[in-house]
Amino acid sequence: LLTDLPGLAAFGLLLHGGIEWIRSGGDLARVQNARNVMILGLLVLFASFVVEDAGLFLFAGVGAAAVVAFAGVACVAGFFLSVRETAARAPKSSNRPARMTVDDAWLLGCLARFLPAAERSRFVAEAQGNLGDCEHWWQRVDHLACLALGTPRLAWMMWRENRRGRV
Amino acid sequence: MPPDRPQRVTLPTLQILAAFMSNLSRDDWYGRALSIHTGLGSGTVLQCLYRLENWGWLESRWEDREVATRDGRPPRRFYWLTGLGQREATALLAERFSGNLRFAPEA
Repeated sequence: LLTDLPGLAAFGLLLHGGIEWIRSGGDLARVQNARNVMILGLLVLFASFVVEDAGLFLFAGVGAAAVVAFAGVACVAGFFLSVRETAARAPKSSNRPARMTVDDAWLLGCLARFLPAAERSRFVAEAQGNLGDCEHWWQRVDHLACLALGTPRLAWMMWRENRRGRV
Repeated sequence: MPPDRPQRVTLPTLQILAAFMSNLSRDDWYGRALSIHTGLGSGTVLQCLYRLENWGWLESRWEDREVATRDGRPPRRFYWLTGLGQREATALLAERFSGNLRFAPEA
C-alpha cells in the first residue's frame, strides 16, 4: 500500500502534466505549471522508491537495498542524460515558430530512445517537420500519440535491419 | 538489385504507394501530407516510409532550410518514388487490386 498508492499518484501526475505540457502550445506560464506538476510526480515516484528501498533494507538487508537503489538511480540518470543528448543533436529551434520549442525535441527524444543511435536525430527532425503542420493542440496530441504507438514497431524494424547489416 | 526484397506488403504500405502513384510528378510528399491523404496514423506512415526506402522504392531529401524558415516551420523530409518503386508499385497494385484501381491526378 505504501508503494502502490504513491506510484499510482505519480503516474496520474505525470500523465496530467504531460497532457498539459502538450496542450500549452508554447505558453510559458502553462509550460511552467505543467513542468511543476511533472516534477511533483517525479518526487512522489522517488519517495515511493525510497520507501520501498527502506523496506527492502529492513527485511532483506543492506546488500539488496544498495543494489536496488544503485540500479534505480543509474536507470533514471542514464535515461535523462541520453534524452538530453538527443535533444541537443536535434536541429536548433531558432527557425521554428514559437510553439515548436525544445519541448517537442524532449518528447520526441524520449521516443527516439527506442531507436538505434544512428537513426535518432533523423527521426526527431522528421517528426518535428511533420508536427510543424499541426495548427491545433488536438492535432499535435493525435500526431504524437500515433507516433508513440508506432515507434516500438519502427524501432524493432530498425534494430532488425541494423543487425542484418552487421551480419 | 534492390537492397532488400519485400517478403510481404501490408495494406497501409499499399495505401502509401497508391498515394505516390496518384501524382507521379509530385516529389514533395512528406509524412504529415501522406498521413492526411491516406488517413493513416503518423507512426504507421513513418514505418511504411522507412520500409519502402529500405527496399529502394523511395528516395528522400531534406527540404531547403531557407524555404522552411521563410514559412516559419521546421524543414520537412520529402519522399518520391524511384524508377524501381514505380514499376514494383504498378505491378503490385494491379495484382492486389486487379481491375478496381484507378490512378487519377489530384485536383
